[in-house]
Amino acid sequence: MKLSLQKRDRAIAHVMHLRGRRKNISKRKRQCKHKKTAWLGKRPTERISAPFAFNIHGDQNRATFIKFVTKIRDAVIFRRALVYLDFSKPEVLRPAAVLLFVAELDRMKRIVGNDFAVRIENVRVPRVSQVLQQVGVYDICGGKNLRISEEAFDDSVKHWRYATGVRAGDETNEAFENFEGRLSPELAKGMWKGVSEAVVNSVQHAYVEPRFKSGPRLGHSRWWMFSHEKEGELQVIVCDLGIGIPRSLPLNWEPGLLDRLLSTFTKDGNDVRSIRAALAVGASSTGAPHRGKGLQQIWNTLRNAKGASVAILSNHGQLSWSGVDQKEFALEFGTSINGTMIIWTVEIETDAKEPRPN
Amino acid sequence: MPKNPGQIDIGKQFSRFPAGRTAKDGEYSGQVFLKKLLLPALKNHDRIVIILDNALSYGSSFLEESFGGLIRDRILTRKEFDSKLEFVSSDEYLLAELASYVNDATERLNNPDG
Repeated sequence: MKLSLQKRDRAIAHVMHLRGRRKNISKRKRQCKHKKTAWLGKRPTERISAPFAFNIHGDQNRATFIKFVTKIRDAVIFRRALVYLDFSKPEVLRPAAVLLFVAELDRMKRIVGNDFAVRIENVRVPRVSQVLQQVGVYDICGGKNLRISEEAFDDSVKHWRYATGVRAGDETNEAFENFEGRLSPELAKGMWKGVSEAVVNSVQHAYVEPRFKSGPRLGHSRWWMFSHEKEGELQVIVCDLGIGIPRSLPLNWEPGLLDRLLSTFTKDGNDVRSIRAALAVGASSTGAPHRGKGLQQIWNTLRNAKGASVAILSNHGQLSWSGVDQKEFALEFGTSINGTMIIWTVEIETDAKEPRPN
Repeated sequence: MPKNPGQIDIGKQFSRFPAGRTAKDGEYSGQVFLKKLLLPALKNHDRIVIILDNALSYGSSFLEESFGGLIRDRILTRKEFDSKLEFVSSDEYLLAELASYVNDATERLNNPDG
């Protein structure tokens, strides 16, 4: 068959294009082999809808939120999928849940490396988009096109701060300096004591075993931290994505001794009892008697400050102290955050100096 | 009068944010403080004044490792500890907390089974 020159050129161009594509794929396969990473071939695409409320303090909202995070984790880590997160529904963002979300995304990205592909789309509420930008979600997920000028941010969003690190050091210090100026010297002292102990606790105790039965591990101890200011209150949150107090406690104490201690907290659920037991005996993973006072300091350090509150969330349990009501609250949830989170809330001085710029 | 007195201002010479027990816990942990400042100072001076006020505050793990650790690891006897180290702080609770860690370490050393 004789082709016209034009048709022949078109056919050759098509063949060259296919050859180029095959060459490209071969090159990527060779790179995968060289880097010892999995060849993904055709990557699956998944769309996951974010819930209306990012909140882990109420049973229903928490269950929906944890389900959302679990779906992302399974898609990213186990199926290495390209994930689109539909943010058309979210309107309520509570700091603790937002920190958990950021920490989970950061953990996933650190585990799967270059295979991480999560995109945010359809953000309907401007404040939600501002928070996602301010706390670094767009940095993790690459949402350049969604970014807006920080000058346009709502006042309540400007004071959200996010930090992460692997031990207590310069990252912790810098994060603390961001809000130190808003606190009275006494509160700043107490807060640093609590924050530094929370960070040290996460490094020492949280990652001694795998977080889940299957799946890759993060490979190092990491903490995540938020500070957030609103209506004369400063909230500081430190979290880790480790095994949680209920799992770490039995590793360190004789079963008989621990059972006797746990049986004294009959009114509470299992994980709240573990938190209470850790507060009572210390949470040392070494068994050494000179260790394990950190959690008690976290719990007690700001209790006497005016209007201060502290909450310890670990796996299914939450134990809180409200300085306003001078009461303790214990909650056992149906779903687990698979980690530990400490939340302090204190009143800030309105005439305190402005936080240092980043 | 001690022959060769020394001084360590933790907040100025080490960190405003001391935290943690071991080097794995943090860059400004008790173990790092011991290695970088306190042990060399103990070699060079008969008596050391330790100023605590210029650091923001101290967690239990930092205090226990830095000062309880001196007794626990038998670097100093309790008598040597009392004669060589002097602590200066306007916070009496901090001084009492520090003393409790040193007392606990001494107690455990004297009664290892207790």
